[in-house]
Amino acid sequence: MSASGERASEVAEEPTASGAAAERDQLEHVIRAHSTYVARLAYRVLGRDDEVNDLVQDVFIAYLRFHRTIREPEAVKGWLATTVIRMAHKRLRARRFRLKIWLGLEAEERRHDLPAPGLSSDDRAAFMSLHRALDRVPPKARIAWALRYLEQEQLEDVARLCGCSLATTKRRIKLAHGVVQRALAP
Amino acid sequence: MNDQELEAKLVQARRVEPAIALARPQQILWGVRGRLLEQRKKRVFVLSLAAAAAVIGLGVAGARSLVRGGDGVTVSVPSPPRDDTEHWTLRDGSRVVIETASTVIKKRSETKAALELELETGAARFEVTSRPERAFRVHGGDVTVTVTGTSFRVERSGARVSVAVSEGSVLVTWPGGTQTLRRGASGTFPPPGERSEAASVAALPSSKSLAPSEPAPERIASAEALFAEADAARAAGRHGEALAKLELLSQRYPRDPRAPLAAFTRGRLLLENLGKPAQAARAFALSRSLTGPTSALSEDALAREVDALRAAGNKALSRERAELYTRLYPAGLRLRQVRAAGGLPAEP
Repeated sequence: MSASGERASEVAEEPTASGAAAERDQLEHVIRAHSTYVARLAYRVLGRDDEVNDLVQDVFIAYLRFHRTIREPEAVKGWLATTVIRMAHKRLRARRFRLKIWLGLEAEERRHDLPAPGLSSDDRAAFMSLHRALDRVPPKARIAWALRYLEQEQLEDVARLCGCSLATTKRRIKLAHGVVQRALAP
Repeated sequence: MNDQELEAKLVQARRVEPAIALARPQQILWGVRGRLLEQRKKRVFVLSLAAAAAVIGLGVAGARSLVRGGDGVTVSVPSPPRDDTEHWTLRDGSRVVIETASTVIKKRSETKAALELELETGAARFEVTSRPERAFRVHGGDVTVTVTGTSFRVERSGARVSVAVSEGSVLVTWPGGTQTLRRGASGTFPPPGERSEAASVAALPSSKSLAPSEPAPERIASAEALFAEADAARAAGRHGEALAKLELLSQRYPRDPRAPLAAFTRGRLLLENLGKPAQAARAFALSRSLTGPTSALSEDALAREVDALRAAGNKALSRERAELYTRLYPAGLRLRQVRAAGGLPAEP
C-alpha cells in the first residue's frame, strides 16, 4: 500500500472477474471443440450410457485444473484422450469388483437420455453384446481392444494412450480378442 | 466366431454413439459448472467445521488456562487454511471471495472517497479493511450495500439481494428504504412486497468525508449476466426461468457474440425440456442465421433443427433441412443421423 495514500488507484487487481471469465470461456471453447470426441471415446471404452456423463464431466474438470500444463493447443485433444483412458480404467476396475457383476445380477443398463436419432436396434444390440463379452476381460486389455477395434486407432496410438509399450499393447489386444471371439461364438 | 463375423458386428457397433444429451456441449458445460459449485460448497463446509473445531479447541485450552491461573496470553482464532476458491485481494487488504460459478462482479467506479463494485449475478463474500475515509459499496441492481470495515456476504438473484454480515455493520439502501445490518444479522432486499426502483446511495452518518451520492443509472443486466443466470437456472432445473433469461438476451442484445449460442440453447430447452419442437426449430434457425455456416454451432443448430422439425411433424421441412445439411456438411459429424431423421436414404 502506498505510504502517501495519494495514488488515484489503490486496487491491486482489477476486480472485473476477468480471470474467471477467461477460464470459463476457455473451458467452454474446449468443451465445444472436443466434447463429442470425449463422449464417444468414453462410451466406446465403458460400454454404458450411465457412466459416460460423469466421466466426461470428470475429464473436463481435470482439464480446468491442469490445463496450464498443456503447452500447445494442438496437444489438448491428446491430453483429453489420455485422461479419458486413465479415468475409464479406474471405473472399469471398480466395476469388476462389484459383487453384482460377479453374480450376474447387474441390472439392465438404464437409459438416461434419448438415444441418438437414426440408431438401429441391431447396431445397439451388436454394441451391447461386444461389451458384455468385454466385461470378462481385464480393464487394461479391454481398453486396448476398444481403442483398436471400436475407435480404430493405430497400434502405436493405442500404446501411447494406454501408456505402455507396443509389445504390451499387442499382448493385451490379443488376450481380449480371444475372449471376445469365444464369448460371441454361437 | 470367426474374424469375418466379428468384423460385421464391429461395423454395426461403430455406428453406435452416445445418447444425445451426453454429447451436447452445453449440457456438459452446465454439468461441469454444477460440479465445481458443489465442490466449493463442500470445501466451505469442511473449512467451517475446521474453524469451529479450532475455536472449540482454543476455548477449552483457554478455560483450562484460566482454571490453572494461566499467564493471560491472548489467543486469536487462526484463519481457515487458504483453498483454491477464487478470490481477489485488493491493495488495501480487502478481500472479495467468489462463491458461485455464475458470479459476475465488475468495478463501477473508484475514487479516493469510494470504491464501488457491481454484483451482476451470483454470490460473493467481502472482507473489507477498516478505512473510515473511504466508502466501499457493492451494488446489486437497485440495492446498495455500503460498508466501512466489515465482513459480509452478498448474493444477487435477479432483483433480490441477500446480505449477511459476519463482522462490523453495513448500511443497505433501496428505493423504498434503508436498513443497518450489524454482526450476525441478515436480510433480503428489497423486502418482500416492495418493488425495486432507481436506487439511491446513502453515506454512513459517521463518515463525514464521503462524497455525495450520484443518481444511479438505469440498471439493465448485461448479456454476460443474463447468460450466467440462464445457466444457473438451467442447472437448477428451472427451465422456464432459463428460457425467459435467454429470450431477454436475444431481445436486448441481438448483436452480442452470445446471441447465437443463446438462441441455440433456447432451442435445446424448448425441444428437450419443454416439449415445444416447433418453437425449438425456429430458435435453431435463428441461431444459424446469427452465425456463419462454417461454425460448429451452425452445423449443430442445423442438425438439431432437422430433429425438431421431425418431432413437430413437419416432415417436408425436416427433409429440406436435412438436404441442406448434406450439402453444407458432406463430412459432418451428424451426417448419418441427419439423413435418417430427415427421411433421406442412407449413404451408399
